[in-house]
Amino acid sequence: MKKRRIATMMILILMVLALLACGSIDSPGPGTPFAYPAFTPSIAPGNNQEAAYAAAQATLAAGQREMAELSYQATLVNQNMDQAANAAAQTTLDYNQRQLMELSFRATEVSQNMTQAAATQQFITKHTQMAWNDTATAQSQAVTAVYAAYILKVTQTAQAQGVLDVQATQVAQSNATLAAYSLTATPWAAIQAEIVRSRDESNRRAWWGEYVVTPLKVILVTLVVLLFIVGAVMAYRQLMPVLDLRLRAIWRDNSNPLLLVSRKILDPDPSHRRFTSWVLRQPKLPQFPSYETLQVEIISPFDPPVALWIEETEQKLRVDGRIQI
Amino acid sequence: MSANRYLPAASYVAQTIPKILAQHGLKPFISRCVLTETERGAAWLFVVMQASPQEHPEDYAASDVLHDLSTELGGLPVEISISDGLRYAVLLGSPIILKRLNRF
Repeated sequence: MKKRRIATMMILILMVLALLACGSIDSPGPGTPFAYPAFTPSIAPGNNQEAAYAAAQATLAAGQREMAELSYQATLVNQNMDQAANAAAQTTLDYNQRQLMELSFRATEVSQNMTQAAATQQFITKHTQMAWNDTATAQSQAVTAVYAAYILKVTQTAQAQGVLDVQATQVAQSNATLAAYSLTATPWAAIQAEIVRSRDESNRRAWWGEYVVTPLKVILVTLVVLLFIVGAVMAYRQLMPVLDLRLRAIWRDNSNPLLLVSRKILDPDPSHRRFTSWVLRQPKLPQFPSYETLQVEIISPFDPPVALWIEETEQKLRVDGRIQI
Repeated sequence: MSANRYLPAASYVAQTIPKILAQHGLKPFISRCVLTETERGAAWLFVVMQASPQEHPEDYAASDVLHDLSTELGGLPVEISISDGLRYAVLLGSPIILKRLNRF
């Protein structure tokens, strides 16, 4: 019974070690301590780190398989021990106890290996996260540095441009001063400047005379001629009837009066019909009837309108007392 | 008696009136001339003027116009009537003034 109890405790120890190893495989949360804090695995740089991580993963998988195998073998040994106990075979029992001890030892080693592999994986994971953080921080710092450098460069460029502008202005002022000085510093230069100025003024006057003054003169002369013609025509139209009347008064040989009515000359004398017809041919002049063709009608005094006319007229003469009929 | 004996005088008056009117700046639009003689021996010549909307009838009835007409016609009485049209009435002959017209 005592041996059996020892074997049972060994199996329990193996089970506890296997559970501890499996619990260390899961990625621990933040702040979770390692099962063996004294263990400090070394970190291989670059691809070696990935290889180490893969190796730890393989170790864990192999450890799990081996632990399962060991548990199975322990179970078999325990069964053999039970059978041996039943058979009271001391030799077999001892052999089985030694084998169980070896298995326990082996399980312990496997458990340690698995624990170490889990610690290695966690360390690698943490280190990788830190590397990522460091990389992001470095990139941010690099971007900030680039932007600051860009701002600095822009500022420096603006300052340089301002300096260049000031220098260009100073150069232009200096050139102007030198040119003015060279133009007037010596008598010969002054003469040359005067010649140039005179030539420019002559060119300007010639341009004005060619394109402005001459056309204006032509336009003014044309306008004056047109105004003179219009004035002459208007004066002729206004004064010609009076002139015609004067000439006719001089040339005519009869004593009939000449009439100038509304710019028209009325002369019943046939000898001057030519002038009269000229006046009458003018447009928009009213036409007078020919008085020579007037026919005097002889009407009875008893006709209604004539009788009224006679009565009205005689009544008016009687009232005025101008005549006695 | 017939009014034909006044016909030469009537023709003279009919031709003279337009001239006098023209001298005063008036348009002598004469439509007709009517000669008649009353039973008492008065011979009247009515010169009927054609009404014109642009003309003023009172200009034709001005005293100076009537005076010039009478003077130019040898003192014959000249009257104007503007009722029922515009017309001049010239007394060509009467027992009193008939002898004045003998010279026409």
